[in-house]
Amino acid sequence: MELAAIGAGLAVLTGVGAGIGMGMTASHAMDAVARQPEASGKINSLLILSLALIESIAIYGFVVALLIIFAG
Amino acid sequence: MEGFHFSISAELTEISLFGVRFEVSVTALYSGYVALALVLLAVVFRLFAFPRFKERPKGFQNVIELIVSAARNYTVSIGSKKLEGFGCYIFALMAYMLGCGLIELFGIRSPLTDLQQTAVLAVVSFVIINAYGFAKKGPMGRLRHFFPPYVAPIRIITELAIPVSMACRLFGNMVGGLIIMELLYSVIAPIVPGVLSLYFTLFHVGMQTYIFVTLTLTFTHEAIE
Repeated sequence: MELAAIGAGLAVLTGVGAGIGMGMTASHAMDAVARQPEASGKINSLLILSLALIESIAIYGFVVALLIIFAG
Repeated sequence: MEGFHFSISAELTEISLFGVRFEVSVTALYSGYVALALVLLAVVFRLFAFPRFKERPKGFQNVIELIVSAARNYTVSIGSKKLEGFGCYIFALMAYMLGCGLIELFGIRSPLTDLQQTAVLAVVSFVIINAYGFAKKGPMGRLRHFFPPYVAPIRIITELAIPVSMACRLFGNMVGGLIIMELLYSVIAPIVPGVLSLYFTLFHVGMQTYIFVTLTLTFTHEAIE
């Protein structure tokens, strides 16, 4: 069981990459809005979509950790 | 922490249908109820509300027209004019997912926190995406997507990853919200979980519905391009 907990902790480390990616996405989106405020509606929906896609990386790690703990 | 119970698969319950008793999971049962409620609502609207609609809308008709035209406009804005008929699937998907998510407000485990249910939604979306692709472009046009042969394996894996990723993303997000709420209920019972469930139950469900619908639309648009 202890080893399974360590494995689950390692699986959740995917959040690091997702966090970096989301930070870069948000910063570039803000640059884009600052440069072209009238396009903010379109940029906003693209931002939400790409954040969701990046978030899924973190979610995969989370699902794997859950499977290790509860189904392993 | 003693009040915290969680398991990935929902607990089973026994129902009897036409005299035959069998076990189903709670999530499957309540997703069936949600679908039934939506169908009944649609039939009631069709029989009693729609015949009384007028040329100049007011009141209830305004609300219905607003929702329907919002779904259609959103479909057209992500896709193109070619996707206009797709709006009805998007509307049905949104209604079903919102119903399934908001049933959590009654203290019932949401059907979307079951991997089987999200997998069903993802597979239905996948089938519809490919059916639309075949219908709009013809078999040869769709297969040209996998040409030249050396990119075919990558393309096939990318296509097959779509339902898996959609199912896992929805499941993971909903289960994350569920676990956080369960933890909160077991640690601080009064007031705090009620305020936070505004986010983790209401807003979160709307957000995930929006993302699922947007991804379906984006992939469909890609398939008919």
